[in-house]
Order: sequence, then structure tokens, then C-alpha cells
Amino acid sequence: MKAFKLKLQNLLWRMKSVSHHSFVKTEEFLTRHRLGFIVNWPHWLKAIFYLLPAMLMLLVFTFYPIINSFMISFYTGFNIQTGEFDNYTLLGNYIEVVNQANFLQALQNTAIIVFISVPITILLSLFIAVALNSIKPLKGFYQTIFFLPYVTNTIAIGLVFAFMFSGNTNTIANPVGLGLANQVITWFGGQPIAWVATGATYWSAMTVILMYSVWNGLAFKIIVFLSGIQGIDKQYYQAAQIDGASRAKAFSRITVPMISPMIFYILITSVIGSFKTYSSVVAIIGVDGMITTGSSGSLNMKTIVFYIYDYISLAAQDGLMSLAAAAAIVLFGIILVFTMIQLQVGKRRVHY
Amino acid sequence: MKRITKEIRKLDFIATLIDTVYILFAIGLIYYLFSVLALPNNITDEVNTTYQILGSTWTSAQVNTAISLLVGYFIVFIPTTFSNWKRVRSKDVIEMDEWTYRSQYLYSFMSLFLSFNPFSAVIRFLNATKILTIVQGHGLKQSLINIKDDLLDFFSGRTFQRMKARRLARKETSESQQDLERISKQDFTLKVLVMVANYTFLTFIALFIFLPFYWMILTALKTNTELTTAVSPRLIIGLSEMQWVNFKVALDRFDFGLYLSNTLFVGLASMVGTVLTTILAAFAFSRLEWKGREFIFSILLMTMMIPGELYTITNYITVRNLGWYDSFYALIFPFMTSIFYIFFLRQTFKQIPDTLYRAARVDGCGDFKYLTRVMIPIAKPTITTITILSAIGAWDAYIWPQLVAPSEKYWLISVALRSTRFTDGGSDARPVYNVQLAATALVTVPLLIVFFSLKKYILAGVGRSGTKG
Repeated sequence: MKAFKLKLQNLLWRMKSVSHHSFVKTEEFLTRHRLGFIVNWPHWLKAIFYLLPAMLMLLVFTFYPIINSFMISFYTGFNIQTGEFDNYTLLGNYIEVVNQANFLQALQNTAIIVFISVPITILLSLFIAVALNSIKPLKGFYQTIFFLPYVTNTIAIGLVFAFMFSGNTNTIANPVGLGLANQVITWFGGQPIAWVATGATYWSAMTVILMYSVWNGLAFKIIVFLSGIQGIDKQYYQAAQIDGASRAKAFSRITVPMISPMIFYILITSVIGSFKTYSSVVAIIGVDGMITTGSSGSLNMKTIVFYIYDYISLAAQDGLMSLAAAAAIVLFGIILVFTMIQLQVGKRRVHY
Repeated sequence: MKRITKEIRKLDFIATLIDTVYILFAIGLIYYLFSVLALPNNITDEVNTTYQILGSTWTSAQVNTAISLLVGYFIVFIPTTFSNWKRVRSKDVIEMDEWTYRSQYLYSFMSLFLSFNPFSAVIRFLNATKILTIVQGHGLKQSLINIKDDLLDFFSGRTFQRMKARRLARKETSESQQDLERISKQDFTLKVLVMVANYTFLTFIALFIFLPFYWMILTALKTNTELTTAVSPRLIIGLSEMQWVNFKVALDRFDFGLYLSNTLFVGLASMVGTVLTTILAAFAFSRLEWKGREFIFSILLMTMMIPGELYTITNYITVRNLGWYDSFYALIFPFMTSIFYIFFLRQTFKQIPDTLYRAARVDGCGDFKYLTRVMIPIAKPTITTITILSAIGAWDAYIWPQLVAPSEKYWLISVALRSTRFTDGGSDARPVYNVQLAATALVTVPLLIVFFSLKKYILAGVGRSGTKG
């Protein structure tokens, strides 16, 4: 058996060497006749082949859509089946989008989510990261728990949140089977609240959405801040301690400036991410983003992305895709403006 | 010495093998128990029958208890066996310190009393004794005597005297040391207070983070009767009351098996595609030198700012025109590559020194061979991170799938969770919450298992992706 194996290895080696030898010979021959590029491709030719799969995908699903979506937003009566359209309009679709009451409501909802959940999440995760960094036992355990939200399905845990805040038959008239949140409220002697069910108010539903946004956003930020804080040299803190600086001062004068690039990065990405909130609202409120409050009416909890997808799901009607594209570009514009402002402010405040 | 380590390794291997056999047996058992569980006629009903299992009669409560115990066994022993396999298979030198034999002893007792596994208990006990002999230089008998002496010292107060003497000795070491100690003594109380505050704060946050998971599992195991009639929800339920049949209902009646396998298929396909295209593109952007490389790359980076909705609008039309609407193609192909991952991997590839490349070229190594033999092994942590992140992304996808694949055959889990009406089919339109949350748990748990087994890579990779970007 061993001898056979050896023989086989020998044979393989021989074959390899013969093929390599012939390859080298051809290469030499070709180079002598200035045909070396056939075997030794220049880098740009190789690069084309290496980039081919990725670029093909990017061209079809990234670059073409950017241009095309801009184009679509200028059409009127665009039909997605035939690709025909009636006419061009310069700003007609944009004006129609911006003037709709639904869009303004969506803008308000989104703005509330961005301006409340982002600061809370960043501050909280910064404190958590500092606290985590200062302890030694159980650090890994806490770190694992804090990271759990990152590896979950947004819809799944959103449903759990909705359940925790509503219970089973959670109407004010019939408060049987309280959800966990209402149970906690009754422990402290309060009245159960209809958070997201019939009888909910705008701010009760918004509270649940905000809580879920914070819960969902903590994980990533904690990990990034923690890895930033761990990279700070211990000497700074020792020097501060000898100089008699308090902990609060050490935090505001050493920790925050040292990880300011990370805070800045997180700020920009999470503002962008919050402007695009969609799945969490779908999970908590429902696919239509509306809460019916009895016979009197309904609460509109749609975000801007919600508003865009409402149009896309009705795309079979002529012209609605253009409105969706216009709304998406308005969202892009808002995000761009906010990012620019942050970059300008960041230039002065962030220490690299 | 080498002979002894070899022996220890061998014994370790045998014990781990026996553990694995036990776990496989338990998996078979739990599968059998699940297969005999009777489905209720109406999903809101509670099942209360008797089963004929292995020639004896079991009630529903007993079967529920058995499954609960088996699940508890899995939670403890599958991770430990997993890490044992990692240790057995690794070629590193075994670290032998005090904790090695202590953990081996603990594991041996756990095997004996928790999993009724006397074989591996005995083997691990022998192993631990062997390591103890190597580490301490004396056998088990002597260390038992030592423990006895230590306990005697502790109770007679001699331990404290020794500690005091050591502290005094340390005090006299040096002047600067004394200064430091004075400072630290001054804020000792402050330190303790801060510590207590830290732990309380972290525990509160941890509870806030963990509560939804607990509530999900807890509610999924309750009966529907309890959910609809109880005035206040119970925070803990007994082992025999856990309604494991809810999971079976979610899998059987609501087709969650199909949705899970759909998601797995789409996730794997797009993951493989992403990793392949990303590696090739990152290689072209980092190693190969060609005109316009930086220009094209900066254009790629610029598109990262644009919100995905803008793509979605045209991609929706493209997919319809290609005839991919309502099929797996539409779910897989648009996510086959990602600019962020290309950027991320390029940063890692760029750190590999050029000299390595030249050395490889001199040895007659082609570009592709250099990529597969040198660059990929070096960048393996980053590639693992990319793989995991793209898998998480596929698991979490909701917007695009519900837009382009609305028919039930192609539902992914997120879409299924949101679109399934978990009602009992009667006039009552309220969802049956325990089944809904059982389905939610079925969706959440697999990813958590993946996370726990690959924790090291994920935490490091995500931290890095934040600091670099």
C-alpha cells in the first residue's frame, strides 16, 4: 500500500514537472517572439477578468438603477410593463410628493425617530462601553448579551416587542391578559395603556417604536465604541489620575476626544440608518403602518421609506413609480444635507 | 513528557467521542418525542392525551418535561462538546495550569450527574488527575490533604494572619509604591461605589436587552388558554407545563419548515456569490496595478451614500423585465456583491506586504495561485466576518423579498412572520400569540446558535468594520 502510494506520488510529481517544463518553454518561446502577453497577461487585462463578476452585478443592480431612477422621476404616466411614458416634467413629481399631507406626516414621524432615538442610543452605548471597559469579571458575558440584538431578525423581535406592549386582548375596556409592559405599570400602581392597539395615542405608539429602535441600535455601537476605548493608551488615564482629574473629567477630556472619529462615524451612519427606518415600524405597527383608533379615525405612523414602498407596491398603475422615485430622491437629498452638515461640524470637532 | 501529553490527548479524544455519541442519541430521542407529539385539532386547544413510548404510557405533561430536560441538556452540553472538539483537533500544545484540571474535574462531575454519562466521567477524572500530577508535582491524595489543611487554616484564622503579613511586606517595598497605595486608598470607597454603580447599570441594560428573548421563549411555551384568560402574565412556568407542541404547530400548520429552508437556500447562495465576487474584486483593487484603479474605486465608494430605495425602484422594474418576478433569482442575484465588503476586504489585502508578492513571483507563483495560497489564508478573519455579516443580512432581509417574491412558495422568514395570519381559522381574527411567538423563536434561535459558536470572529470583525470605516 505504501509503495503504491509512493509510486502514485512520484507519477503525479513527474506529470507536474513535465507540464511545468513545457509551460516554461512555451513562455520563453512566446516572449522571444514578442507574444508574451498571451501567457503573461498585463495587469489591466487580468483586472478585467477579476472584476467581471462583481462589476456585472454592480452595473445591473447599482449603477444603472441610480441613473434610471433619476430619469424615472422626470416622467409622467410611466408604465413599468411597457416602459412607455407620456411626457417629461421637470419638477412636477417632486412638487406632488412634497405637497401631500401623507408625505409631511411621514417626514414628521421619521424626524421624531431620528432626533430622539439617535442621541439616546449613542449616549447610552457610550456609557455602556465605558462601564464595560472598566470592569473585569463578567465582561465577556455582558458583551455577549449586549451583542445579541445584532444577530436577530428585525421583524421577529419587533413582533415580540409588539406583543410585550399589547398583551392579548389589551383594550382599555377589557384589560385581560396584560402584556409585560402593562403588567409592570400595574405593579407601580398605574393604569394599563393601549400602546399600539385600538385606543392608542400617537405618542404611545411612537414610544414603542423609539424603544425598539434604541434596543436594536445599541449592539453595533457598543461593540464599535468598546473596541475604540480599548485602543486608548492607558498612560493618558494614569497621567490624569496623578494630576487629580475626576472620572467625569477623564471621560469628557480623554475618552470622548480619543474615540471622536468613531463617534462621528457612528453618528453619520446611524442618522442615515434612522432616516431609512422601515422594518421596525412594519413589525410593531403592521404592514400598512396605520393604527385604527376605534371608529373615530386612525393614526398614521408611516416613515418616508414606508411612503416610497406604498407607491412601489401599487406600481402597476401608470405614473406612480415616478412618484416613488421622486420621494426616494427627496429622501436622498435630506440625507445628503444632514451628512454634509455633520461633516462640516465634524471637521472642527473631531480629532484624528 | 511527550508520551504523557499524547496519552492525555488520546483519553480526551475518547471521552469527547463518547459525549458526542450521547448527544447524537439525545438528538434522536428529542426527534422521536417531537414526532410522536400529537397536534391539536384546533391550534388554540390544549393537548392532553397519553402516548405509548417504549412500551410504557406517558402523559402529555411527562413528555413535555422530558423534552424540557433534553433541551436543557443540549444548552449545557452541545457548546461544551463543541469546544472540546476544538481543543482535541487543535495542534497547539495543551495549556496545563491549575484551571485545566479544575475544569476537567468539574466536567467529569457534570457528566456523571447531569448527563448520566459514567464512561466519560471516569475518563475525564483520570485525565484530570494526570494533569494535576504534572502541574502540581503530586497526586490527588496529596492535594486532597492540602485542601484539608487550607480549610483548617481558614477556619482557625491563620489565613488572615498570613494575608496581613504579606500586605505589610508589600508596604515596605518602595517609596513610590507607598505613594501610589496612599492615593488608591483615598479613593478606595469611591472605587467600590463606582464598581457597584457600573454593575447595576450594566445589569439593568442587560435585562432590557435580554427581556424580549426571554419573553418570546416563555410565551411560546404557554398555552393559548393561559394567554387569553390569565389576568396577569406569569413570569416563570414549570417544566411540565411547557407546550413544546406549539413549535410543531408552527412548523406543520404554518409551513415554517419551508420558509426556513427557503431562507437557508437564498442566504447560502447569496453568501457564496458575495464572498467569491468580493474576493476577486478586492484582489483586483488591491494587488493588480492598472490605470484608473483608484478612480473607479472612489466612484464605487461614492455610491455607498445613496439610499437603497433608489436602487429598489429600478431593480423592481429590471427584475420584472427579466422575468424573475416571484422567483429565487430575484432574491439572490441583486445581493451577490456588496461595495462595502469589497472596501473592507481591500483594506485587509492592502496590509499584506508587497515583498511577499515579489517573492512568490520569483518562485513562479501566478496571480491566481498567489490569491488562493497566500492572500486568502492571511485575510481569513476578514473573509469569515464578511461571510457571517452577509449571512446575517440575508436572514434579516425583509423589504426586497416581500416586494419581488410575494407568493407563499418563495416566502422568506421575515415575510412569513409578518404576512402569516396566525389565526385558528374561526371567526376570531386575533392571532394565536403562542404559536406566533413559537415561529418567531424558530427564526431567532438558529442565528443565535451560529453567533454563539462564532462569537470570537463576529465580535472582532464587527469592531474592526466600525473602526476602519
